Amino acid sequence: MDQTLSEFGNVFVFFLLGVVFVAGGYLTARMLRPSRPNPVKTSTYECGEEAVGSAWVKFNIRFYVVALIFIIFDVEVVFLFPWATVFRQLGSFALVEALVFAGILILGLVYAWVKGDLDWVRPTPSVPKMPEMPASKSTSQRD
Amino acid sequence: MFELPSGAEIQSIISILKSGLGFFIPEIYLSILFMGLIILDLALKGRNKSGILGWATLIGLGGSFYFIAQQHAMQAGEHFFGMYVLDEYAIFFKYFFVASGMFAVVATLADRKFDAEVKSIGEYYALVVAMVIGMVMMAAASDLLMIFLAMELVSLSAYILSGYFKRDARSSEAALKYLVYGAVSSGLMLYGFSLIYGMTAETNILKISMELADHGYDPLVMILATLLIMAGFGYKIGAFPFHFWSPDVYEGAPTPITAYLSVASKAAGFALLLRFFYIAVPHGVSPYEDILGIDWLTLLVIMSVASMIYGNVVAIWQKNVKRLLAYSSIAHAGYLLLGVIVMDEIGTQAVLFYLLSYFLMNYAAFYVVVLISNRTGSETLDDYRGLGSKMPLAGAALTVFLISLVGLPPTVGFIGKLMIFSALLSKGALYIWLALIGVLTSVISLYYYMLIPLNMFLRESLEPNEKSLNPGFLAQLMMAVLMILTIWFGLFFEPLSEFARYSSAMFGLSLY
Amino acid sequence: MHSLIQLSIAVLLLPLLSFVILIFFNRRLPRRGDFIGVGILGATFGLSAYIFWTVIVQHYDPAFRVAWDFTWIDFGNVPGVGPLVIKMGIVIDNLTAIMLAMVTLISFLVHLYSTGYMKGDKHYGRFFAYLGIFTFSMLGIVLADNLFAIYIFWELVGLSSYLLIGFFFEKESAADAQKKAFLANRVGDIGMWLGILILYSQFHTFSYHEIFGHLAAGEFGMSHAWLTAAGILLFMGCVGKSAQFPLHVWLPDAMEGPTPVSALIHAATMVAAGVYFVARIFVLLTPEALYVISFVGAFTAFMAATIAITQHDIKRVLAYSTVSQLGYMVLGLGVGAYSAAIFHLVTHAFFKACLFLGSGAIIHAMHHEQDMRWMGGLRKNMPWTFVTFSVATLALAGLPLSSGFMSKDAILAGAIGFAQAEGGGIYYLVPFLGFISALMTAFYMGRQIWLVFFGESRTHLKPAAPDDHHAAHAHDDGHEGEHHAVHEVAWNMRLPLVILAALSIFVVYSPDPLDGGKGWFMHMIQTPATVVGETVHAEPALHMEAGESLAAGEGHEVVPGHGAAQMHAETHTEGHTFADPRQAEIGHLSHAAHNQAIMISSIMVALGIVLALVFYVFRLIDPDKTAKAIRPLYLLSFNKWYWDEIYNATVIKGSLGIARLLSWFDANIVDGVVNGVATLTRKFAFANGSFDRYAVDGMVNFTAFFVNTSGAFMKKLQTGKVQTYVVMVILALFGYFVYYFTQLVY
Repeated sequence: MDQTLSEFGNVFVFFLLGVVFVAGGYLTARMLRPSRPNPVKTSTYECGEEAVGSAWVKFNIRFYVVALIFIIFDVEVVFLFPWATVFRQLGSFALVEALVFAGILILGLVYAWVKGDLDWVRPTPSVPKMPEMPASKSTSQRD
Repeated sequence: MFELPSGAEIQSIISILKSGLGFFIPEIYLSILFMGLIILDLALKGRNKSGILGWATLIGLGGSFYFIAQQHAMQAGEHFFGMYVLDEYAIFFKYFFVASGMFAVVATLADRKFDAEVKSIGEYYALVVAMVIGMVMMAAASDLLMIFLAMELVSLSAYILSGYFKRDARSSEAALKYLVYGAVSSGLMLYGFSLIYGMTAETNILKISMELADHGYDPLVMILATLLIMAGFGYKIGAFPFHFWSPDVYEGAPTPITAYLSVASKAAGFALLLRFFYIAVPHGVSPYEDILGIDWLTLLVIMSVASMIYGNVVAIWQKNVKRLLAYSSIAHAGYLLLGVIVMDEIGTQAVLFYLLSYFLMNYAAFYVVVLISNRTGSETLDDYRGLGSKMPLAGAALTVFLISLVGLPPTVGFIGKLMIFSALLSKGALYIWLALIGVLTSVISLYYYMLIPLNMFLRESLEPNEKSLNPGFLAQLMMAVLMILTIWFGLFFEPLSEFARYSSAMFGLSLY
Repeated sequence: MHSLIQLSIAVLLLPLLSFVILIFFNRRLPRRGDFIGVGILGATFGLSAYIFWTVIVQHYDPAFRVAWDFTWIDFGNVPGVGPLVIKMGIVIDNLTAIMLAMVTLISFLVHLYSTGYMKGDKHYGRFFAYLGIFTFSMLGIVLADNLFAIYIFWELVGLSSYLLIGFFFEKESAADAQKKAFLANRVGDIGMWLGILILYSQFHTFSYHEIFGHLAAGEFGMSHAWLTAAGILLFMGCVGKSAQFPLHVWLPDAMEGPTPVSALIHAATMVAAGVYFVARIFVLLTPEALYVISFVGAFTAFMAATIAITQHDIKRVLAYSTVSQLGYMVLGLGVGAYSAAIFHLVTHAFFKACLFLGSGAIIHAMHHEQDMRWMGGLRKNMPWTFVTFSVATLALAGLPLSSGFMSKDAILAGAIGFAQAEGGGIYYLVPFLGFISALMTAFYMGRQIWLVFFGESRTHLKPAAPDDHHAAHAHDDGHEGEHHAVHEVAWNMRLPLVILAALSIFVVYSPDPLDGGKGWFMHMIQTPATVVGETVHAEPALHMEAGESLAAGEGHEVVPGHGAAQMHAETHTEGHTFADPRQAEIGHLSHAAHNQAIMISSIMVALGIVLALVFYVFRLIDPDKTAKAIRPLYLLSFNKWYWDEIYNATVIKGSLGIARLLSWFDANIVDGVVNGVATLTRKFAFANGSFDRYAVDGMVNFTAFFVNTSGAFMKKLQTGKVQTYVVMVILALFGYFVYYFTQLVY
């Protein structure tokens, strides 16, 4: 009988260890922390937004800008990883290519930065008073 | 497990990529231009920024002609592992799209609405250039992935451009509709691509063709794939029943962009359609007894006939000139599809020639529409009343362009239709009725096109304001030149038709 | 198609071409295009002459016949009528060939003549156009091979003669004459059409040939009386066209037309059409119908001759003479002298055309003076006209050595034979009237010749009138005396006269001046065998019964010498035998009466000439005094037997009276009824009208409407909602997929 685990056996052991690790963390915290619940504390954490209510909530548009820029560089990393694995074999040409690739993306970042898209401008809180959208005001500043 | 390629393999890959770059110079140039424009936008300050950017774009695009012209000397062939081809057909469209981009810039420079509506014009020109790049790549792409990427580049640029008047509700609505519709169409097309890939395990259209010919296919899957791909192409060319976005988008988008979309984007769609259907879809000896036993003809014929009828008939009811031209562009897609149906050299030549003539007359017509709307602030038919006396040259020029769009001699539009119909008739009696429908619907188009000159010259203005509206010397000159060209090429069309014939050669085409 | 048929189609259509060209373009052509009319008619005549040459000279066969037809309209089986197929066709036999040559020759000569006569007229070009359409119509009558076709051309002739008679329509008298001619012809045509319908109802064909065939086979389903009626009704067409009593009144008035028109229409063609038509249908005429025809002809000949004696107008004399001569022809047909009647038709056409054209030359030279009382002495001024006019006069009077002599005597011989065959009595009235008319013809023609050409000019005797056309003319021309003004006419008017006069001489028709029967003409035109008498005589038993029950009107008299006639028929010198005993007998007796006829006729003519000399040359008797002495008779003649007045009092007044009565009825009774239903009718009409409007407009604008509405419908697809658009795309793809799927599965 083969004493070594199969490939799936390895994965299974890894999975079990993961579960034990997370469960152990929660258990330790439960035992150590004081417990004084209130409604705010017991609600689910949703990045500062109301977790329960209408789905038609206005998000600040800047979330998207940040998210998009994040994704762009995220994807860049995805491309750079395989490049990096064979970097030695590729030689100088590939280095230039990667720099061009990164350069284009950095140009985009610079563009967004200079245009002020990365400035986090707080929306004016007194929404009901003004008929024209405060967001448009801020947009015009940004433009 | 993933295995690392050996050093030699990687070196050979790199050498292939390096050699491919030599055939990719215009695209690289255009990409640099795109980035340069962004940098210029960031660097420039001051009042004349918009004008400088526009002229820079114009000059930059003009410069690309040099690099494109270099490519005539190069051997036709595949590059980048079959991703991309270089042939006369692609070069034709490179010229075409760069010129379209330049014309869009010219129209933008002429359009006063941009001064009022837009604070930041930098991205605009950059996006025009980006769209040119995308369309150039569409015309040259020979791989499903490349096709999809190029189309998306074009589409994304077009979404932004059509919504460029942010405060104009119609413009925003147009952009949103365009986005949703485009996303659906792209998704359908991608699904079709995936089915083809599933059948053949290839993405290169030439290899797909060979694979299908060699190993057969499941007709049902093939049909489904083709239909789904057709949805994507149909969306680009704006043919019935995939046209629905176009009237709303054309009406809402800034007029130069409307013109740009209606000419360049449509042409890109046709470039792709012709290449895909001629190469990827295998054909037998005679185009319609193809080995797949699938009746492509019916698909294209229905699209073509429906587009001609729908576009022309609905255009009759339009009150807005831009919307009217939008419907007319649907009809023109139908006429162009007639040329595709022919599926031979003459048909390709006719399509290319028609695209050239359509380029000239449609851009020119939109240009005049821009000039008029600069003065009147309106694009509705009623506001064209009495303009003939206030803007005589514009009125005359628009009349000439519209006559050309109808397809009456002695204009270039007439020759275009003539070539399409004669290409059809040369294929035999089967196509007579198609040509007949084409001619009859042209007659319908006469009615609504001529409504514009009717309003301009024969009806009194609603406001008794009789001051003449001079669009300026440069604009006048431009109109005159376009008008002369429209008629000139209607009389001496030999160079254009020769160019179209010369450019109808496609790499890897085994149709004949 | 026979080459002759092709040629005859060309002959038929060329004058129409002339009409089309001239009516539309005469103002743009030099000389108003008269050369086109003359040239085309010349060509037409050339072709006709070729046909004539081929048929008459080359074939020289009495039975020559080529025919061709095509289906013009096929109505299929019409309920209540049966199969109704209308064919058009052409038949060429000797009669047609001769008529073609005659009509085209005279038409050509009249064209030529008109270039001189009508010169300077306001509507010069239009005149030639009208001549063209007239010639076309006349040729149609001549060539037609069926009753329907001949009726069409018959009416066309009526129309074109209407146009020509009223050519000077500014003159009220011309306009009146035009209407009169048209209406009188209509009366005859109605009868003719009824006759055609009777025949059609029996045989369901219009073709002569087929009708005769059916009749000969005894397939006429109705009684004999109906056939007689059909014959008489058909003859009514001839009565109208050929101006027989009682419809003769239009012809003299028609002299209001230009004189070349008189020559063409009233001498040679239109009036001959009636005779020609009767000749065409000759074989289906029953003996009873022939009696009617012969008496009508004889009476017309006599009556018109008496009127001609007292007329002053040169053209009116000729007009009545024409009526009289037409009476001869009809008489000839009636008595069965078929070939003689045709012969007279042709000879008369030439000499009467010559006379009319000659009178036209005189009128032209006299500056539109038409009254013979103010002429005289023209012999010296117009020698050509004088000679040709005289030759034609001699022919008309029937002097030996002329063509008229031969043809008229043949008719009269036939009349004698007829009277003898029918057993005398009242039937002798026919030859009697004929001979009396011959006498009077000689008299009035002698009178005319004398008054016009001999003696001294009497122009100065004419009472001057302030608005007198002729006087005004003389002064305009700056002439003091009339004699200086009277010149011989130009060559283009002289040439026709000479040709026509030459055709009035005997040698053209027969080598023997006394017997036309020896000539080619009588050989080519032979009396056809009747197709109706035969059945009656076919069975002796029936014959006997018929003889016994004469009063019943079955068949006709049993004539004495029946057997002799049959015997004779076998040895007839002309080599022509008749199966029908009546025809055979008349033929035989006529032949026997030939010399008799020559003798009586010559005496009559001589007597007439002598009388004329007595009255006008030697002035032994003063004509005016004579007139006074027999005033009632003179007035009767001078006032044309009061026919116009009689018609006025009876037909016209009667019609007006009936019209008034009907008008009253209409106004008081019909209108009441009409008003009663007016609302309903109006509503119906309104509904109908709006339906019409919508239907018509709908048809006209259908495309636009359809396009428009389909556009309105289709634009609904563009909802403006992007979700709809996406659904549409999915639906479209699904539709396509289903289509291909079904294609694959099935």
